[in-house]
Amino acid sequence: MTATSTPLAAPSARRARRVATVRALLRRPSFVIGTAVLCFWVLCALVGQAIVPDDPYATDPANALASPSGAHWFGTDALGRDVFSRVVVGSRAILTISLLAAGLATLLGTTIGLVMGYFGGLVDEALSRVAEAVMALPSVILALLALTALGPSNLTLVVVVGFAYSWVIARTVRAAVLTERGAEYVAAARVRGERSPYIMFGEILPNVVPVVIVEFTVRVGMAVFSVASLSFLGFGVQPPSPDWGLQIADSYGVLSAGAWWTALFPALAIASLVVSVFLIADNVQGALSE
Amino acid sequence: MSRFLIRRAGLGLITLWLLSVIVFLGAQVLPGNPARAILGQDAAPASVAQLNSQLGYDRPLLERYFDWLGGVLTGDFGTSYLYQSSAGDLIATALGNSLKLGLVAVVLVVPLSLAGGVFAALHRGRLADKAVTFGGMIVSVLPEFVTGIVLLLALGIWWPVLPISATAPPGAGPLEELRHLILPALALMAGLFGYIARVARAGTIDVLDADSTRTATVKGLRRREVIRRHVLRNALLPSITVTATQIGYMVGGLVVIERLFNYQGLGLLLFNAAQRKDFPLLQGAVLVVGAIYIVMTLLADVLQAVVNPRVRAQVTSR
Repeated sequence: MTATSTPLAAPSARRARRVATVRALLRRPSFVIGTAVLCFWVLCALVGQAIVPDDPYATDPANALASPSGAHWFGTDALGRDVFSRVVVGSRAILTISLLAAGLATLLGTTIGLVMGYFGGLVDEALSRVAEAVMALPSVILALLALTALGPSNLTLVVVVGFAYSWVIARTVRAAVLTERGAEYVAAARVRGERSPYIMFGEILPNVVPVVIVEFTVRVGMAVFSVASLSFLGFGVQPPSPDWGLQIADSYGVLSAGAWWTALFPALAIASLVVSVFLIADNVQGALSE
Repeated sequence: MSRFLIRRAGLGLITLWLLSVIVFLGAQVLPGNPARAILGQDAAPASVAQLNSQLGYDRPLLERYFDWLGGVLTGDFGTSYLYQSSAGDLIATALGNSLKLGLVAVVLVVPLSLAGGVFAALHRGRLADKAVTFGGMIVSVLPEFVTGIVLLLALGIWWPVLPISATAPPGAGPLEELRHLILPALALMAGLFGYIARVARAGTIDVLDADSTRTATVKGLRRREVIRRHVLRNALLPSITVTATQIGYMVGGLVVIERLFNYQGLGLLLFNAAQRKDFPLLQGAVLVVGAIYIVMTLLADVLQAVVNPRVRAQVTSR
């Protein structure tokens, strides 16, 4: 992970390192399991609508709260909708929103982190304080504040969650840039008369890419956590769209009546997704720091 | 040490002030129009304008900010639209309830996690160790309401040993009240188990491998005695520090857990304020949450500096 290589030798050395990293990852069983589970949900998100046994939107009041059976594998909810179909199709909203939010956070955070680390001084000091203030609020609460003001929509959700996590990423990237700033290749670029944006994005950024990748994978997991929580609170994905957090919020009231399947299956779906992303992130971090 | 304290506290104050700006901007600038938010999209423009001026939203932004900040500094958080009473009083009552829940959670989860960590260390490399480490890690990444739903089903419905509502019926004794708090407290802090157990496990292994422990064992002290005297003392401090750092994050879980178990704490108040667009209450509650986090991190940092002088040097020379 130490990037002391000169810019000339860098590209081929980097490619070799990348191949080695992927090989190392594939030897880790928990990485393979995590990837398999994630791929399953991505597949569900892509083609779920076409393969599910029932229409996830179709209500059937005569058949409400039916327990799991051959006809309805995960039972039906209070409106008689098929829980299995809703769980499969529900993967789409949470995966799309979380990936976009993590992507936005990475983009924003990497830029802010580069600026903080490269310029240092007052700019760094001021942005560090802002980062600390934003991070003092749990992302769910920060998002709740903004979503109340803006009104819930999927786009707002992406922007708000992305903004909340960008500051955590900025701090990590900043630390990585600080160790790069003193390197010879940066001094050489300065002597050549390169402009600051080029040095930041063209010279330093390629050398902190491993840090950025780890941050992105970790943030995907955190974004799933936040988006699911916000949907559960009614500020995320809006009904009647099938969504796991929303399904739990709609149905935990009937738990005491014995209808456990309406809430448990979406809860397990969230758990499997969060854990799989965590396993991937944890292994990527381990492989890149080897 | 005093230089470190002053610098750290000063930075904390600046962060607090910035937090107030963020909270104010988040609540007041983004919508542009609180009265529209309260009355809904279909309200007549005249009544929107009237409510806005009634609430003081037609005044300049800076004036409103300093008004609000001045109020907050003197303990006046404004009037809640929703409850038509002092937002500060509502927040104080709710905060008291949340602290009660948090205290029950800490008392339940911290000793359990310490025991788990020591247990894992004593069975290092074996199945028990892996179960504690891996299980703790999984629970620490799950959203609190997922843990909550599973606990609620397992201990409240399938094997009904605990009440599933957080609020005891009126007239119940303190013990009964406590019993109602167990499930939400477990769900709130289950995520901490992994962190604390990991630190306690590492601390225990350090001590078990240290020469002094070997000497003690050779001296003929019984294993349990060694663990009590040496291991616990050394594993305890880092565990306390990690708890203090992580508790700030747990505040985010309050909203979800108090909603799930219908508990009248700060989280539920925040949720109600957000749902009903009660901006004074929402702003106040969010500010309090952030302030708690900043103070907790400050305490954790100071604690860490007391325990480990190297940290102190780093911060002062930065």
